[in-house]
Amino acid sequence: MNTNDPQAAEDFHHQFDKVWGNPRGLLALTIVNHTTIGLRFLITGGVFFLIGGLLAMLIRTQLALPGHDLLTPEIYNQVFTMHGTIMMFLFAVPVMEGFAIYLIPKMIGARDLVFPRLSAFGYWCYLFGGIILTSSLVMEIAPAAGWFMYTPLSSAVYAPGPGSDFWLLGITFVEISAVSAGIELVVSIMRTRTQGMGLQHMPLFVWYILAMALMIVFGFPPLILGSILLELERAAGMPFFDVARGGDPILWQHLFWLFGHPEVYILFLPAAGMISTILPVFCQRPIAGYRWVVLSIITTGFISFGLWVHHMFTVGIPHLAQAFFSAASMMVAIPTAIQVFAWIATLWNGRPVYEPPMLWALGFLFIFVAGGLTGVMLALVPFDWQVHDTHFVVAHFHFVLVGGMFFPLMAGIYYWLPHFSGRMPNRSLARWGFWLIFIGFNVTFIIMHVTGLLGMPRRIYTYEANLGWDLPNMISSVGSFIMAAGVATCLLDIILHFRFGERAKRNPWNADTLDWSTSLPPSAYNFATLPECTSRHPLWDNPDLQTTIEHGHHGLATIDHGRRETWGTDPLTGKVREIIHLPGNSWLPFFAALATAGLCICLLSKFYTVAIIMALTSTAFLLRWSWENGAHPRAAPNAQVVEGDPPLHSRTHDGPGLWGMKVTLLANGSLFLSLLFGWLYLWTVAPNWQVPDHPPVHWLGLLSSGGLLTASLFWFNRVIKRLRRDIATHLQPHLWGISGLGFTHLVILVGVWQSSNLAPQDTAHDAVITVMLLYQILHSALAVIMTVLQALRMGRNYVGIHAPYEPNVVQRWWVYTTGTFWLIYAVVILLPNMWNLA
Amino acid sequence: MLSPFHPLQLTLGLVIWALYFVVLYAGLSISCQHFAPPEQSGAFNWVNIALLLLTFAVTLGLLFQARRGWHIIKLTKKTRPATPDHKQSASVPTTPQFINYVAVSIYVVAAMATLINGLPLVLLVPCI
Repeated sequence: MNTNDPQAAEDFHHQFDKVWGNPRGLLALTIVNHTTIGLRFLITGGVFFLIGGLLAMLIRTQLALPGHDLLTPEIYNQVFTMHGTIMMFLFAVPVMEGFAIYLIPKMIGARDLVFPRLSAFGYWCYLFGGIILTSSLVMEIAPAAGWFMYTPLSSAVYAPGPGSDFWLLGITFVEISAVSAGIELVVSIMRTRTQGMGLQHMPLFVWYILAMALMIVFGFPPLILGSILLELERAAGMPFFDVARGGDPILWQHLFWLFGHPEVYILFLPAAGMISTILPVFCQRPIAGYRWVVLSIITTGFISFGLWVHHMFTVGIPHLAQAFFSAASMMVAIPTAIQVFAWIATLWNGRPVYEPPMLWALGFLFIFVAGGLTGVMLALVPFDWQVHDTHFVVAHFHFVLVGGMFFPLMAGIYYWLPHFSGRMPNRSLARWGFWLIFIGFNVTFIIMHVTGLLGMPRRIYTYEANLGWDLPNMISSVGSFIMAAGVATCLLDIILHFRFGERAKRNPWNADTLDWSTSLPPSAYNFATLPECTSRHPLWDNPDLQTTIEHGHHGLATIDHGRRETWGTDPLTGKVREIIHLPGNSWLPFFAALATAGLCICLLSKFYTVAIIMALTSTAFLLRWSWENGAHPRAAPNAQVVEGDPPLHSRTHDGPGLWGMKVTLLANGSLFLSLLFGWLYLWTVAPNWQVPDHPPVHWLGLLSSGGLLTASLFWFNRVIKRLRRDIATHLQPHLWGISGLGFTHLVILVGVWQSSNLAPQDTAHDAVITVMLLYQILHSALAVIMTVLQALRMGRNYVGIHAPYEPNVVQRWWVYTTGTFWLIYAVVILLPNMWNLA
Repeated sequence: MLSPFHPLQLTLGLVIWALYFVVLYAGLSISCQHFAPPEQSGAFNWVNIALLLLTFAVTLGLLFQARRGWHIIKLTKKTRPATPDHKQSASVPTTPQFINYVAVSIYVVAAMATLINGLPLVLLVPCI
């Protein structure tokens, strides 16, 4: 369609609604659309924020007076642990992801994210995991070892109740959601930008989210591994962190902070992305130093991984090693400062308009810079030793996290509010809300630096009078209640604006990015037609873009085929390569997440038989999910496209699934490398590390198993090469043969494990090897299952020369599985022998 | 050699820095655990010297890469005009130009980061 007739345009949109529209009632559980999922993340995160905020109020009430007995010590421990846990895992990360899920397709000119069912699955995992975790609070059995769960305090000896299990299982469940969102965002940004949007044209917010998503992909797996190991120690007695049996509690700290420090930047980067989006709009000029900002985003993403030990300066690491991390901790301030100078230069050269989003942006600048400066102070080892575990640190990280995440988040909420509701906020209430929070925050936390310098430790439930802490604590508590009043005011403003807010006109802030070229609020498909974008400021260059999009003047204007489609483009230049067809609404993500929640609850209740059934049920749903793809009748059985358009991605050798597999393997590789790190770390450092005289695993059996695995991989590679040359003769027997060979490898591997002399409950050495073998068995089993599915799909004609895409995806899994096998062989069999020889 | 316009160039400098950082920390930890030099030798001992040499080698390698990219920037500026963009901004480079610009900066940043990380080796005794 390409017309200016309003009636024709309306009919055109009705057709799109039939394909993309969201169902209501119970069927709303099947929605996979990114706009709805993003909003669900935001609203759920908001609810968790209020719960976390109430816990903060309890903490401040308890500490307002010396000797206060509002909370018992046990409950206080649960309250501060859950405050940190909820704010970090259930509010901050999911809300930032929610914003990214909502905005990224709109900013890059796509109709949806690239794996919509994964978005929905991630949301349900987050919701169920969050409910499971917070339910422990209601039952008064919440985790109580601090949000970083240091061992041995969180181990079975010192935390015998189920609190730590709630944390470990609940957080791992929530992290599935975070990693799935990270993978999806990376692939969507790289492969679904609209026509012509090269890397150099990407809005800065998209750069920030790309960095954040990649950091999640690399940064979360170490904690997932740590949580698995600690839960195995608690539930199965495998002593990874028990010094007496060859473990080391400091390993937990390394694994936690390998995640924990990048986590700060995972929160800061999207927040800074909001600021870099908002300031230019309210200054009505492009941001100063686009390339400098991109440089600083990439640099922050990397260097933030080199700081984790600055959380561990007091555990007894050599001074020189501390100096390496101290230097890196100070260096990370430089890229952050580049961004701050870019924002100041933008303000300097523009004509700022102080609408509510700008107030929050300026509040962010003030608070975050102050928090950054105390961060540089803490990066100095001698200073850190003095204030470690005092309220100074609490004040510092609240300045960084509230300043660096909450203030920009509020700026973003006010900026995109017309997008969510189609209405404008009330400027008067918004200003009241801002000033109450700004004043309340500073009253609470500026004085808290002094409280810390006066020596008040963190995590104490009360204190004696006349230590000099009475007045500063009272001031902090008063400030926190002012802040709470500010939150209530903002909440009221946001709720009321849905009813009373002035209707937003098109592009109400005169923004420059594509997200403002949708209707307000947007339709489920964002854009009826997909515009070409060869500028960093498409709406400033072409203010009529929304009209031409609605009237069908751009790409992918056909909908009568009934498929949900968006462009698949070159990751560098934005040149169109294929049409990506997307799945529609489905129950599968909901039921898969529900079964996983059941698994989580069964593990908590120690009903292990039911847990196995739940795991199998969840796997069955996920396999069914993978079945409804490509040429399946519920996906894209008809490959016809408009003449001149590129082919559907499932009819090519490339596509989002292939990229999704690669990014998934990066996350998986991060987890595996963390496991290798754990092995080498314990070997080097653990004081009671015990190596048996003879290898506990039969080397020849393992070698023969690896030989079969490698043969399977070579066979698979040969099949792929033939498929690329359009040769599919005997493809199905080949796939069956590979499955059989892989299965033989798997049987031998399981046999080697079963016949080994491993005693995983006696030594950390054997426990780590057991985990490595189980990891390998799981991967080999999945490789076989995926290949069997390909053979079956070949029989149904879902795979073949006409649809050669999926075997390419599975091949990557085989490559990875073979790689991890030989690495395990090297570190378990070869390295100890070489070490003994030396 | 990897093309200066290859997208991996956007991160390669910092990937090298990250690998250097791992070798630095792991090398120090393993050396101190198994082959610790005597405390009296001060900062002038085989561990610090080996790690300093590594630091200089990595820094020089990164600077070499930056210089290579910079040379290409100068060449392409002469031959390829940038495409005009929004009236308020100067110009937007092509995708390869953009990759090269950012990559050169990344190499310089990575070289600086390597040098700064290695500086404590000049001053501090390794294993206390």
